[in-house]
Amino acid sequence: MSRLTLSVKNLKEIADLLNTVVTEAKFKLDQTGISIKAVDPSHVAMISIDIPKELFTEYSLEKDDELAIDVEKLKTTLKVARDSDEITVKIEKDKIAFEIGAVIRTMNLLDGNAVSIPRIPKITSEFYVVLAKQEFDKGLRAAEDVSDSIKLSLSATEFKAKSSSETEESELILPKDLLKEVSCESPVKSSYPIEYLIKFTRALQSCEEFKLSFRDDYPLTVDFRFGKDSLINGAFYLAPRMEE
Amino acid sequence: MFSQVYTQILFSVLLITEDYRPKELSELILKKDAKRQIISWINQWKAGEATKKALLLFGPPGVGKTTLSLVLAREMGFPLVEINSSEKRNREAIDMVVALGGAYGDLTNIDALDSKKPQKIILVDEADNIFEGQGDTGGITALGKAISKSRNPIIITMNEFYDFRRKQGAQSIIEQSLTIEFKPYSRKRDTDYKEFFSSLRSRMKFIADSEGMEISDLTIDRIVENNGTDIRAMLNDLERMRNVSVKKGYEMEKTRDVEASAYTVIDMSLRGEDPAETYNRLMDTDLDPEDYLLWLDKNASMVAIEPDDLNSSYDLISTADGFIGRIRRKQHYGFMAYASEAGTHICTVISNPNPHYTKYEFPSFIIGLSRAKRVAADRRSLSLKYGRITHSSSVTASKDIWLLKMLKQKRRKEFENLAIRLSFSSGETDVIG
Repeated sequence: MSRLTLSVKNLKEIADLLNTVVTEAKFKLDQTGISIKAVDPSHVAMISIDIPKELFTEYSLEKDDELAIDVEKLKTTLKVARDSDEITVKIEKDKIAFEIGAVIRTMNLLDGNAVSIPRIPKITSEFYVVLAKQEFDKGLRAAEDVSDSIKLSLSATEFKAKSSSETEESELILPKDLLKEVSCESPVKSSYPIEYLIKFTRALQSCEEFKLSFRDDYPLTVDFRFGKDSLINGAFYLAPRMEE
Repeated sequence: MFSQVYTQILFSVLLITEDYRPKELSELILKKDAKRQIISWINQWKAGEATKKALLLFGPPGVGKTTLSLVLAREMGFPLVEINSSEKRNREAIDMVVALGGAYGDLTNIDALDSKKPQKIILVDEADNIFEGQGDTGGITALGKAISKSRNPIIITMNEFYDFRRKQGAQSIIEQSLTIEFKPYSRKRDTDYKEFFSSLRSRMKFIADSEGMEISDLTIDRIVENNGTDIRAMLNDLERMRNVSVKKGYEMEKTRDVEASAYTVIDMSLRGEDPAETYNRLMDTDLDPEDYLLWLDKNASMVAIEPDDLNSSYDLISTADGFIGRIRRKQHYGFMAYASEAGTHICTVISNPNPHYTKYEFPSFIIGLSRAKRVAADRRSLSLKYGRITHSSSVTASKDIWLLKMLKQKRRKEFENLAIRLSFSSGETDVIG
């Protein structure tokens, strides 16, 4: 039997992040920690999360394992717990049990063959910006009703996020001094689905800043870290809008 | 699982016997020109000059519509994005998978992150199911919009095209699609019909042998006969027999009836040879005698093109109608059989049927009736919804629908917000005007 103990707040956030992309996901457990990768049904959004074993107050693994978990059920289970609680996860054969204080909730694992782990493509771009999540959020929320896509553009001096429809327009302009870090030799731009970005930033509650990398008509990578000592790290990927 | 794997084996084997070339695979199950059309459609997409964004395949179940999509994706090296069958196939699912997937690139297609060219194939399988359920959830309209915005090829499969064609919003999908009827052979009397069934028999035998099953030729014949053109059903039968570990000497009984569609029965009634057989098939359908007569009334003139034939046909139809009238008046359902019998005998009075292929039509009377009913129902539900937010009865609210119309014309954005809040169906939106 394997036993893992971690903070409820962290696990909640992980479940929320996964749930922006999928309803079922495979958790890969080994001696270094847990890693999860998932792709949405339309192949437009992908997420990868690494949780090193240092994050856990207890990490005793019987053997390396792959657990297919119903993410929505996990979310419901965590509803009874307070953020300040700790949760102990016990894994035995095809069952998984969550101990939250006096409550023990058991559920069956999903059939591992039915949930696949996507291959994460090599997405690299030397054009990136590090900014406060809060600033980016403002731009997303302003653009939410305008269009279903948002165009990000980056130059050496500013970062812009713009949405437009026939009648409306919304634009966030962040000059260099409001950005934590910029690397951009020549201006780049590309559009991404706004709904996914909103869902993602909403799920990523305890992260203050992240790094956006992209280039012309190329997938977007959002690198983020959160949790105790920012130990949990991950990347969220979005496919670009295919323009004419 | 068995059936999917074996459908593929079946195809690859069919192909080996034919000419050893994998690309010719669809040739056996499809008419040649259809296959050519499909290949040129996908090539146009690849070259970035698609004239039709979607490919609409329709035909009976189990003839390989889905398999074709899988094979096409594999040959093109594209990932296949699909609305999962376990998910609800409503507007939301279409928006999430087809609309989103169509307009944006594909993260799993690692070789083609270049966004100018198509990166995936989107499959809307068994689209018949999307549009069912109470009222119209707007699925068809959403699909039409998703297609128009898509930068990736979309394949839609369905069983019943002629029903679909009449639904609201279907026209937009059809206009944007290359529509192909998927059938294993063109006509019953053609040589490809015999070819199709003989290759099927030998493949069934091959699969049975590979599975180590001892099955007599007679049983193989029965499996093939019982299932019409439904290859998937044949494989299911075969699988079932494997699972019950067939005893030696067991012969499969001729039991399952192929569900005859109205079109088949009408064809048999007007062009068939054996009224008794037609009658049996009619009993397998859910057509009641009244609908059956409406069907005959609508279609008889297309087959009986000579005046004498037409005259005698309508004599029979009116005889049948006489019986229906008596059933209504006297509630004597014993006459039911006579009404149907009269209909099935029409083929005997048509001496020179129309030599050309005729496309049978759905009786317009029934369409009119159901359309009127639907509009009334939409109006009622719209009034209820509107009444609920204005704190008035549905009757009062129904008098104020003009206000919604004004809103729709003058304040598009506000109207759309309201439409989302009250989740108007497309039918309800049409009532507003």
